[in-house]
Amino acid sequence: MAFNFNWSPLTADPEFYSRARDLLTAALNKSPKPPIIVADILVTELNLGTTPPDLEILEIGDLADDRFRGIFKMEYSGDAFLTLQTKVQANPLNTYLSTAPSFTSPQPLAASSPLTIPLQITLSDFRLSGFVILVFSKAKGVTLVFRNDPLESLVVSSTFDSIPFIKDYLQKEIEKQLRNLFQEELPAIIHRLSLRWWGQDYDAASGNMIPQNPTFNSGPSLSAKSSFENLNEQSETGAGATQGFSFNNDLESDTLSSKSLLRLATLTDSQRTLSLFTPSIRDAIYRAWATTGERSDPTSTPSSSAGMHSSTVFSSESNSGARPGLVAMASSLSLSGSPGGLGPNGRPVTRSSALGKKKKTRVVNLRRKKDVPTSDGDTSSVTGTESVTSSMEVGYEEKDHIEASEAGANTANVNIPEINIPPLNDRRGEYVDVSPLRSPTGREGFLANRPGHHAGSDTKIIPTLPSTPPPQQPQQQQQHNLPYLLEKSSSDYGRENSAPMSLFSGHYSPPPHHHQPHPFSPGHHSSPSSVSTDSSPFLDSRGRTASSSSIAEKAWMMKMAGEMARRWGEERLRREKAEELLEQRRRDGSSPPPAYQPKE
Amino acid sequence: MLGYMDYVQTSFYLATKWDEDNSYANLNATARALLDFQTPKGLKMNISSLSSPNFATSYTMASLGVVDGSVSYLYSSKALDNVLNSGAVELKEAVSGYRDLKEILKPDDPRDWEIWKGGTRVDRRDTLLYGRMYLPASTLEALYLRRMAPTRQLKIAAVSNSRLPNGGTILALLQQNNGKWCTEYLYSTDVALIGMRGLYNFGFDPRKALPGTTHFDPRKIAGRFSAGMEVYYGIVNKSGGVSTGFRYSTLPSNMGSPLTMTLTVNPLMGHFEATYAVKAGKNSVFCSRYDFNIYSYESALVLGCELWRRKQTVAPGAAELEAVTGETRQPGALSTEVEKDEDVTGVFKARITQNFNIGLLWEGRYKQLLFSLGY
Repeated sequence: MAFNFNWSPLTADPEFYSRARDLLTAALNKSPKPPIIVADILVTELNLGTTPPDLEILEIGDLADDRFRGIFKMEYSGDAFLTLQTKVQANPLNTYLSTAPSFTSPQPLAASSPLTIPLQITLSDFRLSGFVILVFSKAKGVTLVFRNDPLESLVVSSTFDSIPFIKDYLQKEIEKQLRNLFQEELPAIIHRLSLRWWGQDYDAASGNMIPQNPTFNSGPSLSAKSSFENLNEQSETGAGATQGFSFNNDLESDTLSSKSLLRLATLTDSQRTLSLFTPSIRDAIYRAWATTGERSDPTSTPSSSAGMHSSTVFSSESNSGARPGLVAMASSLSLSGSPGGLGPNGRPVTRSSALGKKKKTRVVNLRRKKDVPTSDGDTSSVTGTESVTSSMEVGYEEKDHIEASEAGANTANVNIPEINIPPLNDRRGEYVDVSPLRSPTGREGFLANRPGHHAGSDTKIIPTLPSTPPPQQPQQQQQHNLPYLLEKSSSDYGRENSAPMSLFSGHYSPPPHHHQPHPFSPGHHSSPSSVSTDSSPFLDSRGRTASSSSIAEKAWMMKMAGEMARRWGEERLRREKAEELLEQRRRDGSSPPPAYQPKE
Repeated sequence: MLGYMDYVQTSFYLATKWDEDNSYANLNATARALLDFQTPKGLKMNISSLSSPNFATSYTMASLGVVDGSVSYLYSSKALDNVLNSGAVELKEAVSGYRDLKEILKPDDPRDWEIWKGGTRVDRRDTLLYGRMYLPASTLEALYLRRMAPTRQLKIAAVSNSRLPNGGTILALLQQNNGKWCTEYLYSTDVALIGMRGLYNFGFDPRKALPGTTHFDPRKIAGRFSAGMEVYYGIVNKSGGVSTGFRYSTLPSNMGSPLTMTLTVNPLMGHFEATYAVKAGKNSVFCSRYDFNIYSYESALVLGCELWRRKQTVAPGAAELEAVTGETRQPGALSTEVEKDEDVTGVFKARITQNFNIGLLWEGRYKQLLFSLGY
């Protein structure tokens, strides 16, 4: 296979430079400037040079006529240059006073008098080297993300080259700004540019159709990137991940038609309120439709799901709400994680789209071959309907999975139930009644039965434990959820590459020793009825993609795994603390005893 | 218009015999008051009171899109009997305008400040404490002012705000003023800025004047020439600033029209600034300022004026006086005595820059209410 990258046509387009200049100027002036810069920053010259960057293909994740996704190793040492013009305040006392409060200002008489100097900066001799993730979709344009900081060195020449102090300062500051630009601004600029290029062609081609409509189904780029970023951020900061979405949000407004947006907004409103009106959205699967025949609980209506999905879960085979399904997986996995089959290696994942009609599976197997037989016995095709799943949420859950799997220890499994907060338990109670297998009252019995419920094919509703998600998360999910409602292709880069799904296999392995003995759990865990029937596509696709995972990918995975393990350690400490707290509270007798007494 | 707390602070300086104008920082105070006046934004209301001679409070409410306000309290260990309420205060003191330089006085002897009682010293240094809280912004301003000696004053100002780097800044300023010259040393925690400034008054030295001969010294009659300079250095950002300045100002004893001229130079930045202010008649002041930078050739010109409006009650007042005293008065010098500043009902200020940016301000009094309107 060969790729042909054309560098010169890009630069031959006379309008390209002016557009790129405008976009760069806008990007540079968007963020609040430091007080030393007293005028707008103008990009006066921009030249991409004649030398193209060296690209080494590390992995191609998706390849079709209209879309492409891949990871490259990029090296650039060409002759591109960029000239900026602005005015700077040369008196440091003036800039200092402009930011200091006037009450404590030393009020110099004339020592702070201004002196603005026009400044021209030329950036040249860029040396870039880094991993680039490129996602191209004809409908959504190009998304380009740098995995690491690509800037190795550059030469800054300015009006003040004769003054070494200022020269060094400028060099340092500009490098700092450029790193920021490469990692945050440049992806947005490239995406906008590409939208203008292909957007016009595409609109012309699609004729009378609403041009934005197909974007729902086709493009993997958006969700792929968002999930990836999300996971990335979570693994880096360990904090909430809404930040990663800022970039996507303004893209959404580009790619969604106003009509569709309106519909989605109505849908959100109807879920948040008690409104009975639900707008019909093409190609979307409504939980109400999917579950009316199977569910025996009339009380949980789709409209109430927004508030409850954190505590209710439908079994995965029932093709109902996918998001709760994932939650169920997360928590049930953590209950039954086995020390044997878990490791940093990736695990097979299958996701069927709604109703099993159109199943699109995407699998990454990063595991070595020798591991395959042990986990294959599990036939761990956990299916969840993906149509309603937001990428963000998946990223979040995956993290849980990873944590649980990476450790391969049992403690986490015990700890997660312990973190439950009483109100959720109360809420859960009403769903528990639905299940026929459940012991009649009390949290303890219900929890003990849980694995059985999950596995049992006749159970429709499985109460689960929202272990880590904070209470406000459902709403966030809800918001981010909807724009992706119609994306059927499970294209999240993050899902595949961070390989969190490994963990699902642990779910089907024999129950760990610390489980309370229960007649249902072992049998049902391994019973075929607990898993979806489409295990064959999963196996096929896994075999296919396994060959494409490269050594570099594995190395990266190992690195990620190490990071995750570290994070998990911290998480465990945190949980143990929470557990202690709960234990203490329990001893006080204020709250009902939890289901599990950790026997460590 | 001076804020109430600024007015109280000025009264504290007066009560403790501290000459604010004899400082390099206030070298061009006249030009600043005439050209850099703040025009009010939105609607702002102050309610202030001096509940006891030592304690003042002031509440501010402003509506500039959003409603915000401030609460401030002031304590002075010296009883401030010279603070007047808004109906009685002279507008000239409430409005910053042309600064008539006072004669340089010989500082008090430190021994004059000592109070002995039963063999022990009981005198205390006068202190002023001031705090102000801006409410929605959660900014706290605090000021500590202490007259350490007849020639020395310590001023510590602090601002606390979570948005500032390090949560706030503190400025400490030690001023030493003995009439002939004045030096100030300051330190600001913000960028660890240290600074020094000094002002020297040429000519007459009040400390060497013989008692009783001060008023007849011929050298101080025409005016006063002062020169000063300032040096700053920020330890953290390793940057500094320097400027030097000169001022010539006529004194109240001058017979011609009062005028003030200043020239300040920043040799590092190549910045020159010249101001000229003249009191043309008793009701108007005109001022101009010219900035020029020899490195960037940037220049700026600002023109401003200040007009005073007085009550038209001079004639009846004079007639009354004549009736009371039963003497005929000579027109001329005496009529100016009658025409006190109490007659001023309003001050109009205007400025215009070379870009035709115009600022207008009207400050006056309606019954007991002091107000300022501006654009």
